Amino acid sequence: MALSGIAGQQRAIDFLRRVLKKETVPHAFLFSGMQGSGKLASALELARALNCLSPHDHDSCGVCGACRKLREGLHPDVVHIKSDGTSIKLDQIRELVKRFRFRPFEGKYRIVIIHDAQRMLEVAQNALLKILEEPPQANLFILLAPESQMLLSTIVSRCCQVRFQPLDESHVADILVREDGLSPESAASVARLAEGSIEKARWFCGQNPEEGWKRVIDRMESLGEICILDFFPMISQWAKGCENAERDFEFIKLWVRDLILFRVTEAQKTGGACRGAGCGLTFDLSERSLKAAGQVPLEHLFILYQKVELAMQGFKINANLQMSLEGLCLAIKDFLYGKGDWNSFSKRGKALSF
Amino acid sequence: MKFQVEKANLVQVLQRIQSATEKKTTMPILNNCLIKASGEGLLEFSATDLELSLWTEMAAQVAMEGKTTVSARKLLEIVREVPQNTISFELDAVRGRLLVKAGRSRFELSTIAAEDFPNIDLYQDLPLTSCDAEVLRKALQKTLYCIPMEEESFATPGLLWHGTEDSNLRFVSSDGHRLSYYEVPASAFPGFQMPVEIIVPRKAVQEMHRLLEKESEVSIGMGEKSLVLRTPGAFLSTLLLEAEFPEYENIIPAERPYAISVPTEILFPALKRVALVTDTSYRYVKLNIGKNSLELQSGNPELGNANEIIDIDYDGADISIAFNVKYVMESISAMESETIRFEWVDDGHGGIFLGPEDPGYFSLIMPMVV
Repeated sequence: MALSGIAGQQRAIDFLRRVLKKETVPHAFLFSGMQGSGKLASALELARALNCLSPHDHDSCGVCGACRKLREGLHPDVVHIKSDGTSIKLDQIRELVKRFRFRPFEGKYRIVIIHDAQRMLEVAQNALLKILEEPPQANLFILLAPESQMLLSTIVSRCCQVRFQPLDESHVADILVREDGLSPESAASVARLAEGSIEKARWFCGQNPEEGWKRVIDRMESLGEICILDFFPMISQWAKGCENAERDFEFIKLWVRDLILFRVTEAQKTGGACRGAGCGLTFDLSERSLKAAGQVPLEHLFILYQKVELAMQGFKINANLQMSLEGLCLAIKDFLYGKGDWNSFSKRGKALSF
Repeated sequence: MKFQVEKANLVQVLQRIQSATEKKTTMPILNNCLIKASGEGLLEFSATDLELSLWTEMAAQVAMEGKTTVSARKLLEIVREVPQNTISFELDAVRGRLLVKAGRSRFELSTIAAEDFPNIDLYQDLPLTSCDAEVLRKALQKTLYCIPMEEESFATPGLLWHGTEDSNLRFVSSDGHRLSYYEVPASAFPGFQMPVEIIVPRKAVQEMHRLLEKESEVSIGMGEKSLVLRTPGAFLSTLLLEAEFPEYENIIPAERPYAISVPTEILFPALKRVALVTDTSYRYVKLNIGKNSLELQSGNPELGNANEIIDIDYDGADISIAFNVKYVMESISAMESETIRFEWVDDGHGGIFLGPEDPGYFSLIMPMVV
């Protein structure tokens, strides 16, 4: 593969190729965009195009010694900086700065790729700033980060920013078929879940998405009928038996997204004639939740989406899973199915044990 | 690849290349050394840490040509421990293992393909000119002690080589507290083309010095970003530091009105004695110079103090000036002179230590406030 082989990032790649063609390579790039949108692949391809021994049309040949070493991660002039634990530490940057005392060893350029640059501690960023301000010759920095705002503005202002968009579903599916050997059908269904991120798509591939989805959505749909007395044991059971909470939250988010999509598209007006994958929904949704979604104000659904995001963020910073789920599910019960369902007892008049 | 070698020679070669292998594990292949067996009974070993590269060759009985890389440290440890005098090596290319056999011991070492080794052959076609090994060795030896270990704001961790106006070649080192240089006539390096100035990193200076200790036939060459040194059996190449050396000439006082001369055999032992009461926090030696006398004085509130008077020939203004005793001793030991000449301006400027019988050498030490 060469730079021109990167799928789905036409604008970014066109820009990089223009830079190569004009031979006006800046000293630092900031590739920003969500995880799995092809930032690292592009950075590596750029490194290859710059250090290729026999480039044609300003792109790498893919067969020379330098291209081979780069592909196998053995090129002495490509330096990867990755987080040590949860952050990129000052010592790592200091160690890196020491290497700048020398010219690149065998390539034309030394390429420093900083993975998850947002994880750099502030002191580390300031140390890096020093070298970004007085860039030594024949060195290229490539910072990878989801958003440029996550870095110090002084760093951002010294980098040439390249934005990477989320990939199209079709591109994600293509990559899954080509590189991961998935069947076109399952690739398409996973791609729909992935929100334009190949990394997320690969993560879903290993999670048995269909089955997990079904289990979570059953629970979501039961929220409309379940009485409060049954609600808490159900959530408690869910939290205890949960194998992959992050995935479950993802599914809840996708489900709410689907409801919003359904609410705003024509499908809602035509009485739910168009449903499922055909109109962009992730999976088939039941009549009950579609009906509920059609009746509540659209704002309620947006509030729900925000709540799911908040719960996910909370969970990432170690919030209690059961409490996060309880809060989220009560909000869904409230905003989607209405207060009428806050019954303490089961409607079916089940015999209670007290 | 298949060959047999003598243990003693192999140990020597492996020891030599150890200094160029990387100790950290950022790139595993840098822990390895490249072994190349060629048909003419030659065995080549190379290693690099991306700053310094070493290549050496030795004779061996080569049964089959080939090349591979294995851990340099492990190979040395194995070869050292083996009691037999002859060791045979064989590469199992399919499994990527190097079999090392000696007597009834047998080792299988994992390898990394030779193609993946950084390309260090690329300096070998530089034009080389022969140079005076002894002169170069002296120059390195006399300046090495001043090169700082780490980069600091006013110190570059390398040795500056530059030409002077009177077409000499000067080797300068400084750690920000002291400075030394050694000047040699450019005729010692006939045909050596040098740009305005180059800075050779500390590690390379050390390695070059080590290599020169045993060799008399040396040639030297320089590329755009590297310096190479070639001896009959070895080849050293180092990348040059891309740094700016401070403008050191500004701190050397042009006119030094005062000077004394002391025999080395009197001054050095006296310094050694007064240094006994110094430690890491009290490390000064104060030179109190008056009419015809030099008093060395040092002290430490915890241990006590010491002083010693040396007769000299001096008839000028009295002065009292303190230096780090370690610096003075190191500077004197680097000199090959029977007398030491100390020149100064006042206690605020650097004191200069020269060896009249060692004309190329110059050392300046900044005074301390005690």
